Amino acid sequence: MIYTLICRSLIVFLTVFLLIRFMGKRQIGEMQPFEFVVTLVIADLATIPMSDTALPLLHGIIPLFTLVCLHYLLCLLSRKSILWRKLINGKPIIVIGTNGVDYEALRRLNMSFNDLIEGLRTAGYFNLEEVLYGIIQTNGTLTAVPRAPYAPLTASDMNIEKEQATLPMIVFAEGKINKENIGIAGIDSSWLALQVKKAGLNGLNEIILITLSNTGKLYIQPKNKPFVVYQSNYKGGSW
Amino acid sequence: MKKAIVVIITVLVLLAFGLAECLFVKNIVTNLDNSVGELLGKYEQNKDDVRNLIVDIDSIKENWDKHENTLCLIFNHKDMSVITDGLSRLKSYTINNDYENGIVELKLLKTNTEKQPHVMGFNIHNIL
Repeated sequence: MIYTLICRSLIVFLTVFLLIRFMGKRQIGEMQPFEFVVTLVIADLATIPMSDTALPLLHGIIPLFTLVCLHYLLCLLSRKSILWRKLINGKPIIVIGTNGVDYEALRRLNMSFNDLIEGLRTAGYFNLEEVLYGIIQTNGTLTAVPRAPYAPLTASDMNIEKEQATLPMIVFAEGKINKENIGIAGIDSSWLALQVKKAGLNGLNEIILITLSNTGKLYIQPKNKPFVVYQSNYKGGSW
Repeated sequence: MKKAIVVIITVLVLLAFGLAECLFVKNIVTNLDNSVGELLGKYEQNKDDVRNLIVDIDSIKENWDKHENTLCLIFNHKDMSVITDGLSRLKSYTINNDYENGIVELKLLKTNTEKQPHVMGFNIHNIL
């Protein structure tokens, strides 16, 4: 019986894992109401045949596949049709407008003022007057648009030129060169080893991590030394 | 697009699987029900000595055992064991020429086989 339970657990785990991966990353993070329902039901369905050996495993697996197909259909409908999107996901509701808090909207959402203020704090605002618009998104999160005096200053407000943000890529980690990423960057291991030497380190054998940004900046983390940032002559960063 | 193809194939496989299951179950359970019905008639005709019906019971049991493993993949094992246990008890009563208990067991078996297509099948009662 123990072997049966182990095998069943493995099969159910792998099936649920594959199905959740199939449903997409959004499933884990920001869930729409129907995705939340599907996730809850999947979790419950998976555990029943795992422990009850009188039930065929198919009794758990077939509903799982049915739900995943249903989930796909609902996602497709909400992508393709505005009406279906409204029906399935609902629509964002403005709870704070130019005139302040919309009590009716809060009541429709079954939200209290405490819930609203808690949501605002999570969004980074501690006073209601700081917020021009507060919107409850379809996945239940609160998005706040601050009033101009409370909005954070940006570089463009100050007419300051800022260096463009870069996207670093891991090219070397834990003793291994990431072949896929050095292929994307169009470099090779000898170039990487040369840059490490130029950065004042002995060689790749003492490094645990190297990232390369698209402006050619290398972040090099040796095993037992402080990190080094080295600007290489790399010019090909268009990823 | 790839996902759409996977989903379409999954839906088709589920539908095909459901259809195959319906036909397979109907076939096996109907055969079993007919055999049990015939045996019930013979049992009532041979009240004095039911021991000569052991061959018929063995044949039904053999046929059921042959399909039981496959049915276990689809149905609750507890539902299956009701029939398996019933056939075993019937065989035991018949060997001992115990007509009274044998006929009761056979009637129970008949009731069970009659209701199995309903229990295992696709119908509004099972859905609800």
